[in-house]
Amino acid sequence: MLRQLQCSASVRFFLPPDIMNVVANPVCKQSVRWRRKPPGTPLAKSKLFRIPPRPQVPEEERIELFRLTTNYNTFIKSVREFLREEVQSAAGKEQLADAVSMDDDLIRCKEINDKWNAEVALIREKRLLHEKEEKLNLISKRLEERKIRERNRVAEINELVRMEKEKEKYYITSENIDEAIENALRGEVDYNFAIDVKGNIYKGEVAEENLEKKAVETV
Amino acid sequence: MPHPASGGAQFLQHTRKIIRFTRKGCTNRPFYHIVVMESFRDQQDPVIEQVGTYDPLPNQHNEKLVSLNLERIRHWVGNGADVSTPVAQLLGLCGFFPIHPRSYMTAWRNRRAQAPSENNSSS
Repeated sequence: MLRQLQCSASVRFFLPPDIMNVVANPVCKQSVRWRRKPPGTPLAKSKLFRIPPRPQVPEEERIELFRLTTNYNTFIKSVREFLREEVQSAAGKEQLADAVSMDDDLIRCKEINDKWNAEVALIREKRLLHEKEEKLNLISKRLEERKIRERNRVAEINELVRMEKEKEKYYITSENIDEAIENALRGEVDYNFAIDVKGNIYKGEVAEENLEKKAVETV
Repeated sequence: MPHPASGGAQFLQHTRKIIRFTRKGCTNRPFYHIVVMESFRDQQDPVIEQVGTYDPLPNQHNEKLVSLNLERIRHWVGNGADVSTPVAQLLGLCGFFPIHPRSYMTAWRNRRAQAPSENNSSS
């Protein structure tokens, strides 16, 4: 695990963040149980001064290996070049085929789309007509309501005016103000009375025996 | 989502790709996947694609089993992926590549190692 973490840390230095997510994401990690020494352990004391023997390759073997390797490299180079050309030509053919099929596809899609558009246009026309009719109905209905409202309002106002005109004869004006004052001064009102549940009024400060008969006024 | 061991890792376009072994299996039981990876990646990191397997322990018929997805190997090598030496040896033995010099070397060294014991047994 430690080794993996160290690896992630060193990779973090030069990779874009989306790749970092994969590297650092523990879900995508498969830890291997190496059962070895931890990576930080120093060289063992017994191996400290050991000099490993150099491989002894006989001269003729070395020459033979050199020949084989050179041949091999030449062959491999040609094989790789062959494969590279194969892949590139395949990619080119694929692209061409893709382009052609894309065009066909586009034309086909456009036809289908036009057909759908025509269908939808019919439906839309019908719907718009219907909506227009509904709207006109609504407007006329509202106008009608408004007329009725206005009429009612005018009637109410007229009624108010009529009532005021009726009351006009009781108004106190500059002509009859002296008379009104006289009346007010003459008419004493005694508010010192009692009232029972039925609304009978009993005047006088002291209670009397037969109250029912004494009722003088009802509200 | 594919399992991380069998491919699907993200990679950059212009980095060096390599076809190589990653060791699976467990202690005392090696088993290798042949995978395409970015060459700087750790062995156990997510791989770009798995293109084969290799079981180095011989089975009851004395066979070491190899499976290769040659179509994908063609594709990756054609796109410039390198091949590690052990995988190149395998590809040489299966006839996809020329025989690797290391295979020749191993063969003659084995022959040479065997020769004196045969001489001893015959004498």
